[in-house]
Amino acid sequence: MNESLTRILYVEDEPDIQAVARLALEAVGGFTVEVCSSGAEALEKAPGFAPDLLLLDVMMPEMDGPCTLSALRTISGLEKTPAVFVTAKVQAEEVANLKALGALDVIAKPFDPMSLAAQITEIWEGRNG
Amino acid sequence: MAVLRRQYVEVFPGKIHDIEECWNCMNDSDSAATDQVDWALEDMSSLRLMVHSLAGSGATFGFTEISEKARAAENALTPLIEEDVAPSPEIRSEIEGHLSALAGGSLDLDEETTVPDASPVEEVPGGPASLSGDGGLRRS
Repeated sequence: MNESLTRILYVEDEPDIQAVARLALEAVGGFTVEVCSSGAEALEKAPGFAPDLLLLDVMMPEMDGPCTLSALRTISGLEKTPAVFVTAKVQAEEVANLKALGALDVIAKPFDPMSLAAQITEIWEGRNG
Repeated sequence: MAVLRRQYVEVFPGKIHDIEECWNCMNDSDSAATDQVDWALEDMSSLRLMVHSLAGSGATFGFTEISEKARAAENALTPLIEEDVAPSPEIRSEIEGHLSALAGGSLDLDEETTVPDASPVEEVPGGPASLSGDGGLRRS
């Protein structure tokens, strides 16, 4: 596992949210971000991108976030890549279910674009704690 | 960020149009007139995904009213999808009401928001809209 967080693979089907998140993560956070519009696209791009972190929307058509994570885990090199889900459903049970899938944490939608990068950094830095 | 908000306002009518098409598709049979509606699970799921997206994106861009109305529609659809049941006339009417409210919702760029650097611009192109009683979208 890399110690520094640089590259984030972000999977989100909604173009408007993609644009805001990209702005937040690249311009505010200084990360390198690969945005994918679907789980299928993520599976195609992830091996070449070699992300430090997977950031996944939960509710997406066809392949949802959990299915996408499960599929990404079968790719060599991504078996243990830290993952964070983004969802509007942040009830304790939902969060627990997502963490049980191996997610480091869950970020609530809507997120604050100005603090998203800091939120992810905090999760990253606390991943071994 | 102001540019992104402005772009969102510009594409919003298209999103409402997509919802209208989905709604019309779900209600265009004779059965709709007799309240014996049996929506296909796939159609309900598509509609829920569309309003779910608006709920999330609306809130992200600081359009609270849009987000809340979209969320209300999503919450009304979710039990039908999870249980795969046909809507009662009351539920159908409720969903129609939520969609009408969503279509007529305000996208005022002057609205207070936590999104930084938001600047005031024009209202939604085409103006507010509402769902008519027969399921069609009517702009005011």
